[in-house]
Amino acid sequence: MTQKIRFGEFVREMTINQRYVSYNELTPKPFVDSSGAMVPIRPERLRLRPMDIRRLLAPYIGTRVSEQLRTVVPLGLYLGLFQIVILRQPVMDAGFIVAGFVAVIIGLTLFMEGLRLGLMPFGEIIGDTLPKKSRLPIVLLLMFLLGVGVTYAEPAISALQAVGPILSPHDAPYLYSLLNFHSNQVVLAVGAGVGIAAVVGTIRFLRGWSLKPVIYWSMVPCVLMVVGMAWNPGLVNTLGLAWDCGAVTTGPVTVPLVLALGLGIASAAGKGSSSLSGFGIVTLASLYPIILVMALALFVVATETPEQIIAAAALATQHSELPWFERSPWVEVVHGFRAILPLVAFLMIVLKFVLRERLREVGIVAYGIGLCLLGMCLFNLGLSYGLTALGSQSGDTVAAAFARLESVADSPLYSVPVGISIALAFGWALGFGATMAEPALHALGVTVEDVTNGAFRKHTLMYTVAAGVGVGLAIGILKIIFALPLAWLIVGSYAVAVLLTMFSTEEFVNVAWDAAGVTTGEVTVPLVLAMGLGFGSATHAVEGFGILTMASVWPITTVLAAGLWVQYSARRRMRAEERAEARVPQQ
Amino acid sequence: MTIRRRARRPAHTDKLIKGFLPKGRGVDVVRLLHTELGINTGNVSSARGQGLTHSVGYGDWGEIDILTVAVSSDRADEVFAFIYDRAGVGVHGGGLLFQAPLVKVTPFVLPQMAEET
Amino acid sequence: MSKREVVVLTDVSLITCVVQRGVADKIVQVAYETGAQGATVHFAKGMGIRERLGVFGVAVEVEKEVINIVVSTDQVERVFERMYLAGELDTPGMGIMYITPLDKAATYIPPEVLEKLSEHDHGHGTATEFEPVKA
Repeated sequence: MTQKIRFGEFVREMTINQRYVSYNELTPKPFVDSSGAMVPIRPERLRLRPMDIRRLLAPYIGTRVSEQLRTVVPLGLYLGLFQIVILRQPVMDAGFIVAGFVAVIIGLTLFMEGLRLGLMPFGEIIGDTLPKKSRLPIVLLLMFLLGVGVTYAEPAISALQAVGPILSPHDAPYLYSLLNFHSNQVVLAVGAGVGIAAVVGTIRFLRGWSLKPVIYWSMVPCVLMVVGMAWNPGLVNTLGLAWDCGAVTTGPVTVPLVLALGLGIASAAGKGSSSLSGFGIVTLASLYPIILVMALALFVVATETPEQIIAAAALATQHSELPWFERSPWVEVVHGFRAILPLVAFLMIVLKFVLRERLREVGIVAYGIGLCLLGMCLFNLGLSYGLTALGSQSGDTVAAAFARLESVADSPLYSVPVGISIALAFGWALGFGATMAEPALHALGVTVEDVTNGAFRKHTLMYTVAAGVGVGLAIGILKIIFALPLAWLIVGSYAVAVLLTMFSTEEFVNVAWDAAGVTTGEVTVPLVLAMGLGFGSATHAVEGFGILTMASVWPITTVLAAGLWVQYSARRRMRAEERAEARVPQQ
Repeated sequence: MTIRRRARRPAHTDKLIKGFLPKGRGVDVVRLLHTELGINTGNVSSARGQGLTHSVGYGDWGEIDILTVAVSSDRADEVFAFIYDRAGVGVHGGGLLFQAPLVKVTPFVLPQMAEET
Repeated sequence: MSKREVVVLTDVSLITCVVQRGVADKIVQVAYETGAQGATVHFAKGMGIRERLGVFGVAVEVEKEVINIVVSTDQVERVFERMYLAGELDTPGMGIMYITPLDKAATYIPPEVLEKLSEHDHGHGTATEFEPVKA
């Protein structure tokens, strides 16, 4: 038998008992002193019991550590298991490596928190006030100086320099010369490129230009030089270096600052229909250094002959003992400080003397910068002893899957097709995992989520970018194994990216190209270089450069493709909803 | 003629008009309110929205503008209709516009316009 | 002024809910399930408790999300309570929410709906003529 219940009664039963409390009972009463003026109400400092402190700190620390655990631990497990199960090699120095991973996790946690509390406010306040208070030439000059300065601060650049002495001057004389005799000019060229990028990016915001034509026009000299250099056998080897330089320019300190400045300037200029139109400097900061380094290579070719370089190299081979600050563990600490302190000093000077602004919550900012420093040093140490150590062990030996290696007994371990597939799968997963742990990408993700009020999720961006880096690494490995010409890989990959750019909307173009700039930082670069050198020596390649280039172009394609897919499915869903509305015209 | 007393204004006199508009349209409307109606109390902030507008989107959520205008009661209907019309609220995907009563509004006069009014 | 007709909705309320960053999506989902038809969320920074905790203030998330949902007055209590429960606002420090009464609202209403409604107004049918919406 059915029982009838009025819907109103049902709702009343379901609802919670509401208890009414007047807020008037809870707010403090105004207090007037003897002269009739109101005494400001100062809430009492809350007293915390030890238990309260634990309750406060446990989730604070817990959520932050667990976020980094989720990104770093899978990478470590994957590398270790891959080495033991598939390559059948024991993991050496396991204790050190575990300690290194712990340091990476703690370092990354501290760094990200410090970034949020200490560096982001700097970027935001300068980005907001600089365009309002200073005239255009000063803005441009400061942006240029910032661009040059951050390049010197970036630790990944020195990873490229470290590869220099390993090369043979006979096989690739110009590359050897660039890395050993002209390494300062290379860094300067990269710095100038980043500076020019910052200036062009700023002008773009002020004029409200779309990023697309800027990219197209920047690609023209890139492609022309690549094609030109591809014909010259002495220059082909330097291509990889030039393009890899572009990939490493922008790291975890630069990215949030440049983005915050860009966003501030873009919003002050008031142009662009999406919140993401303030992006785009980072990608220019990786394109222009490439052009300048290629130009430097051309200059070196014009002024030196291979014989001169080989003679000079013979003289320079005597090794001298490295000073203490260039040896581990001090070098990691020095790099950590170098990445943060000069930038913070520069920003402080700009803030105080150019803008005459003051920071709010100085204590919190100082705490944040302290966390950044500590985190960066720990992170660098952990990288050297944990991630890079493990990565180079497997990177060195992964070529044993398909090729004969001295160090690995009964190699090749698998038949050639299986072995190469394994190597490609390894490369893809390494790229994916390393990118997920990349602090610069975390910083980009946080900024993207912030400016879109959460409409564009940090995790969506990170997964798409990481997948793209994986694809890029796999292609890079193919390049080394089969000695594919890098020039055509570059032209082909960028052609795909440019094609997708034409079909994509402005906001996805901005984010996708910027993602390309940030993907390869201090986690990916040493791992990839170690792997590249391992493959290079196994397959007798002259140099292992070029993988990073691929790793930084393919995220553009994946992010754009994801964007097109999202918009396509949103349109389809919207049409479906419209049809549904037409059928059931009831609200 | 009555003597002006310091009396409490009757409650619910002035209105807050708020709109969830497609991204980028908020600033345009604020500018139009200023130039065409002489209303300077418009503000725009940004948010993510669902099920309201067809604009820049990233999957589930899209970017939207939140427009906030505080107006006196005698102009409320005029401003409401103006925004409805100029922001295209009545068009599919044009967003949502609503009006809430306010207890009190301070007069907002631009510094350089002080002598004109 | 334009001569076009403005379709004005009455009996609407605005629910505003301020919660810690990252919780909003869950609450919005519940609001949808309870019958809300659109939502906006924006980021905001809160104040108040951090200053009173001294050094441990850094552990308090100042970043908030603010949810705005416009609902009909029939729905408002139900949606409000479901959101309250979904956000666990009965736990200290989780957030705050409130309802603002609205004079009126306007948005796009499909012409078919308007047609049906005007038929109804002219007395050609009763509410039973409409099929109930299946949940």
